[in-house]
Amino acid sequence: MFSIGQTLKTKVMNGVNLLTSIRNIGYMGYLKPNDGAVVGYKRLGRGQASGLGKTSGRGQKGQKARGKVPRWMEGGQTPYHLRFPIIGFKRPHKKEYHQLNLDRIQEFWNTNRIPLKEGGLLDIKVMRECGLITGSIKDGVKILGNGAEEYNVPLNIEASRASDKAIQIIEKLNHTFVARYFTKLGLRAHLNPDLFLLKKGYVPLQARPTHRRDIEFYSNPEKRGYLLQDTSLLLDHLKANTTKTTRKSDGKSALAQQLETASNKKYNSEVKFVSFADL
Amino acid sequence: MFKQSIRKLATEATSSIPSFNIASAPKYTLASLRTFPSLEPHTFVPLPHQFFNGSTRRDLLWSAVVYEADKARVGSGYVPTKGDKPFSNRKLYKQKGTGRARTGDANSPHKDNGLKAHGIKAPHDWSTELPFKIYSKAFQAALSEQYKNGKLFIIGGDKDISNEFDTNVLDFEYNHESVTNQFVEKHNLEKLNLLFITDNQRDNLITSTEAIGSKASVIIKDAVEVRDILRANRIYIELPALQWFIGKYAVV
Repeated sequence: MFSIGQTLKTKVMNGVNLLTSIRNIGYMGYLKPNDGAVVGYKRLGRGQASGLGKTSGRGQKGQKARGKVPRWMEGGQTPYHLRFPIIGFKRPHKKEYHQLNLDRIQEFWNTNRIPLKEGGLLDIKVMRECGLITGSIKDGVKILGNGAEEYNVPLNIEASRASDKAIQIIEKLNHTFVARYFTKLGLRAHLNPDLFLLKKGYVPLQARPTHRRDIEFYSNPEKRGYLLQDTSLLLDHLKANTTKTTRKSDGKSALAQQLETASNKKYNSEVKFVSFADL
Repeated sequence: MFKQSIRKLATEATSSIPSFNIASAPKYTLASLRTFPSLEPHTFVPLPHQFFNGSTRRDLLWSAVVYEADKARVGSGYVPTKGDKPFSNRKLYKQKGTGRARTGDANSPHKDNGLKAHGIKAPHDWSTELPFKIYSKAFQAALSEQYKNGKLFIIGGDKDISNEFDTNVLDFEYNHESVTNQFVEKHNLEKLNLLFITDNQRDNLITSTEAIGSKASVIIKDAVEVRDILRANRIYIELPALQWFIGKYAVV
């Protein structure tokens, strides 16, 4: 019985050898791209057999046959982009954030794609390295609350900002969220400090927010701003250096305020004649 | 009964893998380390499966091979045009009164003078771009294909070998041509393309393999292309070089 098995095995092995010997032909001639993956370019004006000969696919006579027409052209009618008045205001330096939802973090955590242990800090550097955020770097990352119902990732999170719902969900699990301010340069240094070390020999310090909007945001306890964690970073300096500035809280202009204090004399408008003694 | 006893041998799955992954693909493939030139296996080594048991992506291989071929083009094509001015600027004959068509100098491409209206000029860069991930996948596919067909032999290991003519390094003891001939004869490698991928420069190997000319190529690891791997019928690679490939071309 054993010998039968042995002979059968040798026969099978011979068959395998035959197959592999056929495959010795080589691979180079059998390589080709997937169907439709490679498209050749149009060869225009190469004779009528090509189908793109005489008029090169441009039809007969007219502006399009001869040259280019602007893509916004509507045949003389006022084009769409000139038709309506400009309304509103667009902030040119508005920050563009990567939007990262909780369900994506959850999915990555479930499939072991986040290289952190329980209680670790998931910051933007880790997010980028593990592929939670991809593509060219924007101004930062905002955490959003989609998938809040199933969220149970045991990680502390640090990002540029987070929605109120996301903060609530993260903190319900007894983990923390911190909103940290990054400039473009600061974010690049945070993500790739080696690049700066190799190029410059140092890593640039993280800039503190300078705009009042940012300072207020990152010192807001509701937004979990990082300036509150270490007040020596900025808030102490601000407190020490604040001079009392008069702000237009009552709606009066600076000129009106100055005039108010300039003279306390009131003139009775009912009197038609003003004597020199009153002046 | 035999089946049942085997079933009892199965160990529990680790809990780190989520429950919906019922059967996860193997992450490692076992390869045998060999000595050189006897090719005697002496150790098993685990290697990442995508390099040795990956799928044969013919399209990726095509992309990588075309990319390499484009990169290898010199771009020395040169077509003479009117601007090269092989002839004088002299007007061939006067403007009026000859009864012939008007003409300028002899440099015009419509004349039978070998000049073209538009022609390629050297140097010309034909190189194309390919995402590194795709190239890496192609490299993995090429190694996998050769390994699955049993044409990849890994030389290395730190085991002490008693035989003085057999080493863990991909190099011959002597640089004489007969050493290569013996090697070819012993392993039935006549008419096959051999590729030796070394970690460093191996002088004896280079000199000795000149005996079989273009049938053998010795390449240091960083100069290896996908084309080289696909062209070879047998690949002999040093373990450090292989680990270098795994480090360089490992992509998710």
